[in-house]
Amino acid sequence: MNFSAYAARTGDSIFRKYHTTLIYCMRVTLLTCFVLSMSLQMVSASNAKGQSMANVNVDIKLDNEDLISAIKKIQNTTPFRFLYRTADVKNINHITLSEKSVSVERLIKELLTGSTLTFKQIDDRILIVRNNVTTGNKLEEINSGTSRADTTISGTVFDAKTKDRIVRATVTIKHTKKTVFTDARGNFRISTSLGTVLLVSYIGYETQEITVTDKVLEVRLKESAQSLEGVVVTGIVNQTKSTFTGAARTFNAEELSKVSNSNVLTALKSLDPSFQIPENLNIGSNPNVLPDVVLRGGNTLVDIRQTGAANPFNYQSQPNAPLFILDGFETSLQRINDLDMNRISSVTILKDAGATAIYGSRGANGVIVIEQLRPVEGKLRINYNASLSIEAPDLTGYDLLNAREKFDLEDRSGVFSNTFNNQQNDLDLIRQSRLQAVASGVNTDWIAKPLRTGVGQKHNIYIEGGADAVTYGMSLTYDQNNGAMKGSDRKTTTANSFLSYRIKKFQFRNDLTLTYNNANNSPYGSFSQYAQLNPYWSPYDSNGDLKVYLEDVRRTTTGERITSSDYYNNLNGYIGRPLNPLYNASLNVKDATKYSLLTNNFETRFQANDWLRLTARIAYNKQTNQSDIFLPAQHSSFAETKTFEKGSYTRGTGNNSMLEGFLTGEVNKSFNKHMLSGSATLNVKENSYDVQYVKAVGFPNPSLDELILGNSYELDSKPTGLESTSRTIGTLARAAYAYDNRYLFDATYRLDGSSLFGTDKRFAPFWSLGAGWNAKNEEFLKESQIVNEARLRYTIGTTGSQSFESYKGITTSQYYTNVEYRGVIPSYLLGYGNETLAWQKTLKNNVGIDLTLFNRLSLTANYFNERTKGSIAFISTAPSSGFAGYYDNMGDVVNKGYEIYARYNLIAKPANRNNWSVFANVFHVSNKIEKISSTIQALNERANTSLSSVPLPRYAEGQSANVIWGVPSLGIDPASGNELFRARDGSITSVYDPADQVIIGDATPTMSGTFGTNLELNGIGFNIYIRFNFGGDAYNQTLVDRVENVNVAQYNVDRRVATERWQQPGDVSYYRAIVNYAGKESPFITYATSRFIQKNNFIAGESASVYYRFSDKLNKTLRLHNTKVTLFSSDIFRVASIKRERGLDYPYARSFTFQLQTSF
Amino acid sequence: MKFNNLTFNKHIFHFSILSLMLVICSCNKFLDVNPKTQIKEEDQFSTKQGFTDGLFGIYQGAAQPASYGKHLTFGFLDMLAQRYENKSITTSVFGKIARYNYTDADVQKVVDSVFNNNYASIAQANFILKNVDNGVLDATTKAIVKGESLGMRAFLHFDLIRMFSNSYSDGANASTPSIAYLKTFTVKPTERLKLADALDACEADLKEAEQLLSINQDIDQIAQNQGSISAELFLKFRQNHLNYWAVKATLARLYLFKGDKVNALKYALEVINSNRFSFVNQSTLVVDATLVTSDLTFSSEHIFSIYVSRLKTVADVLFKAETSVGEVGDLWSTRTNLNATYQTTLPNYGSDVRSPIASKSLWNELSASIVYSKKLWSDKSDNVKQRIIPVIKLAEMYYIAAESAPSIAEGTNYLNIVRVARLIPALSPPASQALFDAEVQLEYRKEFYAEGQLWFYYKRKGVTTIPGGLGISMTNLQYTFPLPVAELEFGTSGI
Repeated sequence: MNFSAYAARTGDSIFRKYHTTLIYCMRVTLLTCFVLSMSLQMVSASNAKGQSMANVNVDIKLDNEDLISAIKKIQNTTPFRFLYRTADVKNINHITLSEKSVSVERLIKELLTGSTLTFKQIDDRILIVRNNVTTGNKLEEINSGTSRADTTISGTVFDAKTKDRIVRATVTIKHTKKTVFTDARGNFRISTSLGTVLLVSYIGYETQEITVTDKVLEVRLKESAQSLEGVVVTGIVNQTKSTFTGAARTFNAEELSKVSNSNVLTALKSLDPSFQIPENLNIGSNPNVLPDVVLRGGNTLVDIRQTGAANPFNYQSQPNAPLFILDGFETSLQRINDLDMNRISSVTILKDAGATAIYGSRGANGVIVIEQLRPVEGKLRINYNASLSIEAPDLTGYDLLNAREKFDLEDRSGVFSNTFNNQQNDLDLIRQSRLQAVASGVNTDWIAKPLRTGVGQKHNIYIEGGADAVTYGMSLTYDQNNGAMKGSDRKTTTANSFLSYRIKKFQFRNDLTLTYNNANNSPYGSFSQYAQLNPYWSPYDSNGDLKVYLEDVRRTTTGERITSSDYYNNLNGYIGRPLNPLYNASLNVKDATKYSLLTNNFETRFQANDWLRLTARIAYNKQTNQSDIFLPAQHSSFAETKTFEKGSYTRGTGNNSMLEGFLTGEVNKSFNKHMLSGSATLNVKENSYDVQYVKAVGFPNPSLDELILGNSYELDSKPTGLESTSRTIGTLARAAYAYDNRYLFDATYRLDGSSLFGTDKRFAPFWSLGAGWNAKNEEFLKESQIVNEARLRYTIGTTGSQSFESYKGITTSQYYTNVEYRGVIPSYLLGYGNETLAWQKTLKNNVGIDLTLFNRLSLTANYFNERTKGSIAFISTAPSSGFAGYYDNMGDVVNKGYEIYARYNLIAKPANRNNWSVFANVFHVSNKIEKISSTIQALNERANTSLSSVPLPRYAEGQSANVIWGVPSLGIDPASGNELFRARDGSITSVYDPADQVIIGDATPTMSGTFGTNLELNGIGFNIYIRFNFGGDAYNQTLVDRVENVNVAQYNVDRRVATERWQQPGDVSYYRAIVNYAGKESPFITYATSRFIQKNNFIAGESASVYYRFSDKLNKTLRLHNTKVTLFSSDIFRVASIKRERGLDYPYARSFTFQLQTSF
Repeated sequence: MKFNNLTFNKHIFHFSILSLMLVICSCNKFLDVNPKTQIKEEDQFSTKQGFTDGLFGIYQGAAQPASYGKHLTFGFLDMLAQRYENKSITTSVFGKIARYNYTDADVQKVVDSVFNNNYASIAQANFILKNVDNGVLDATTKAIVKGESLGMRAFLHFDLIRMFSNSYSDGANASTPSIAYLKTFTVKPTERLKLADALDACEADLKEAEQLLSINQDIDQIAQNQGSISAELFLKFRQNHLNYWAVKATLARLYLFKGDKVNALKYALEVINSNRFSFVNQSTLVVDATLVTSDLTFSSEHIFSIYVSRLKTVADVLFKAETSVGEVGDLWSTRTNLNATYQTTLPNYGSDVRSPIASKSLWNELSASIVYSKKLWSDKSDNVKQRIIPVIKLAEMYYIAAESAPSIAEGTNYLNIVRVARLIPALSPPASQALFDAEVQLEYRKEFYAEGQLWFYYKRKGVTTIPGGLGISMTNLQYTFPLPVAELEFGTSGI
């Protein structure tokens, strides 16, 4: 970044040209050096491991030196490190010694002879302590067991899993009030005697009782089973839940694994209904399409002019997508979608201002914090995880006509009668040909043709281990997901290495991940092509070969082909003769994307003293993408293209890189009943991407599928692409205060700057305030057996959102690329940069309660109110300004809602893991638009004059953004078969006027959520998650498209067209006539009408799983640990008030997964 | 060891403070991102080349099909002036334009594009003017850049006024609403002015441009610079820029529009008497568009012309038939109409180079009913002269002088200079003003085929029946284009 600035100043063109490459090379070199040196340190450290000081020899020469320098000499030549108090050893001077090859043990013994010091080896460290009692006495005391004399016991408290030293752990002598805390390095000293019992505790860990048998103790605390529920992982700093005032939900690996083992997003959807993946009827279960994700409904007023994503590599996130934080750093939705679930240790959903204000400008839509597993120290352990999954297409909702029925419908609808211009003869021939096909038994089940049962597999191997200074973990995952359409798959390979190294007060961690992804879209194309093909067509000719064209009817007299019905839309850009999509699929067509991603996170921690810790973290991401679309000359879409232009290859390449750094300082102090903690963070980030496209034409042969084999570029085409760089700087201060663990307060302040915004509004402050009351800790509840937890929380604060294109805040010019003016390449204005463009801000209020009763019922409820001001919108301006418009902050929206999470434990015996619980999660959110821009108003006006069969979205002040507009319908007139409408003036009319549109429904559900049960008895477990939704309307678009606005003459249709549409006067029917009472085809199009508004109520079995956990005995016999087999199933059933085809472009699939987990 | 720690802590503390300060200082710089495919305002205007690129951007904007590259010359305006046939299909865009059906969505799109494009070029001019005083340019360059930008701003506004306002009608419409005159670089809607005020704003800008550009009165004939590969292009090809004389010519137009004949005559004569523009010599004229010497638009007569680098792709579609019959989307005339325009039945009129029966013909006659103009054919890529579209020509200066002359006799003299140059007999002064006006109109029709100026003439004179038209009676409704809907929705009405 600085390089480019330098290069721009000096005009060093060569440097500028290659600087990205240079920097990339430098980064790679740096990284390689770093990883190498880490590995070397690990190797040298592991040499020390297991070596006893009695076995390591040393050559040493001392000439009247003191003990400290002697120790330093030993440290320099041996792998051992010494621990001592300077005061203890500084008085030992004048040592003279010249020893060859003496063992370290003997040497130290010799050095300490005559002093009051004694020593002990712990792994690679040698502890030197003062010994107040003579050896003889000590032995005697232990033997007699009547020790009363004061001894100073010293020790260190570690996390049993991560090997991190625990700061401020409490060490108490049992049955006394004598308490000390561990210092910054996890060390403590306490005066007691051998044989007493110490209680060592720390929040989130199981309290350990230790009988003192030695003067030097090493205490390893295990995380308590409920530990993750006790800690809120915010991605920047962690906070105990009991002192946290924000609304957050945390799920550990165990909970996630009950829902799914394939995709963390689907798992979260079932676990927390405020995390939503809006149903997209088009994409079905396509493994290569990223789902939309919103948390609490999202806050941004989406620009209704937007027409889909123009960027295939998903560099620009959806405006309402939450922020994803993976191991402390922002990451993309795609990375989360491709993440190996077995590697996840916890997921935390941060919702309100109190939780998200630390992310300032990025937190408006909520934050999902995902932490991956860190290796557990100890001896080498190998974990293996394999799964086999089956994707079976689910075609419920599809009810198409068979060949005979379709022919009859055509016949009945007058498709074969037209007395105009002698067409009748041709139509008779077509009729005859189709009837003949039906009679000969042709009845092609087109929708079955592109489908298969996709069988996928996933393997993950994870190796972990390490001694106390070094821990390491390595993981390799191969994930192959085969979709329900033939040839559609997604393969992801991920390799990860994690290293942690601790030296003195420093700890270093490096986490390197390489991901390689390869995705193929089905050569069969869009599924909707197949649903509309007529069943009386056969894909094969008489020789059994695939046809190119499906219908070929010729005049008997001339042999000419009848072309009168050549207006079949093949949905691939070609309108004309119906093509055989199976023929195209049989050619070597290619539609693939791939990416490789390098992620490196490096962290250094410095524990300055017991109350101050500094952390520096740096992350680098580099993703390279490629997309390839190849269609050979034989592809039927080139039917009318010149020979040398037949066949095309489109190649897209993209790069995305992110560099982010954090510097965090944390302080923690408590005195008496006051507990104070604070942190300050500086965060710098650069994100850039670029995309290029080229298209070549002229590929004569299907096997010539390389871009370079193309004949030429497409006529008049040029390379296209996008480029963007954005930078942000953030500073954060957070303070929390708790009095007696009863009253909690916290405050956050963040100042964020972003390059995306106008020079006048670069920086914006964000803040939050929170308060909480731990009622359980009050005197009157302290002893209560009924209430186990009672906490009330309230937070208020602002967060922002910055999901929009770069450079909207600055005026820029671009150079023409295809014209010149008298030898000069001129520049033109690209747009007006609004220098006052500011952050969109959301003011969030959240009040919540956490309650646990009878140790069985736990309840969490939140009510929230979020007001977003200044959604960034395109504002149209008078064209006389020279611009169509500019971006400005306009559009206010208020979201209100509640969420309730309840769980009741019917059986809870953690000792033998038997438990049974039922749960229900309920969520509701509604929104109201408070202010809209003039542009949106104008668009609303235009909706009053445009005819559309899809309800056009409108944003009206005072209304929800989810309302559906249409003309109120009175149903189908039994006399005529036409639809009757109610006009604005109340009159009844059969003429559709878009100006009569009113609000006909609201898609906001009254209540939605999930419920289910988790059961485990003697190692056998069962889980089910059921989703429900009631209230709220939906516009049944598939009824409109597939039953009403059908073209019977051309396409196959839903069965209801044949059976339920109005046929003759007197029919009381829900659907309009195909041929009305006058024998005329009724108007072809049904526009947005209230007739297709339906209640969107449903209950769906979203996921279920059964598992068996091997008993310890069985594990032992097999020489394994923690073995578990699981069977998952998704989309088990669905009962809905709306019947519609789901999965239009790609079918929905039910999936079944068998998983095996073990370690050895 | 403890001591060591302390000093170490101290170092870290100092280091942190220092780096924090550094970071805060460089924050704003860090947040200034340079788009790689775009150029930021302050970067562009930090060099002379940036100003040049921006200035040429105004002309390139004017060379777009929505502007002089099509619609304001041979396209929309000449369709309105009924120069072409092929308008019988009422549902075709051309058919609808020829019927002045401005409320039709397709025609509206054309009108809107003309409006939007000219204002976009005006914004480009204002963008330069906003930065021109930043001290980067030397005095001479600055005068030229500022002069041309101001001049183009006025020139583009004046054409918008001529299209979207009423005719001045000797002041009768002076206070009718006109358009917004953009003097600053802004997206905030600017108030519409009264016609007289809008014209005053044009006049003021043109006068300032005239004064600024007076330091360079040179004209390098376009032809002489053909194929120049010089790297210093800023002051080359002056006729393709709004040069000193083009500013004067525009002023002549403006004064005639306002009915200020004294000033109109003064400025027209200044251009004529500069002797920098000369009528084409018909004996040496080459009309074969495949030759590098061809010059069908008479480039030596151009006071101001617009260079259109991809003219061939636009013009070939409209003026060249691939088959031996006319194509639906093409623009052609009939022999009958052309004969009437060029008065071919009169003795000695056949030698007029503009006429279809001239020996060096500017026309491609497929049949008597389909005659294409070859003016804008460019079949030799080396020939720059076939990629320029005249916007102000020498002949128009004579016509302005003729109309502004104090007497009919004097006016006839000016007309005759052009007639003689075109090799047709001189006229004797007509008996009445009406007859004189009829002669001027005939000359306009002969001179400006596929150049757009005839429409403005008809409008200025309030001609009620346009020759060659569909018999529609011309009123203000036909002559004044409606403002784009977006302008009414988002603009301020002003008056």
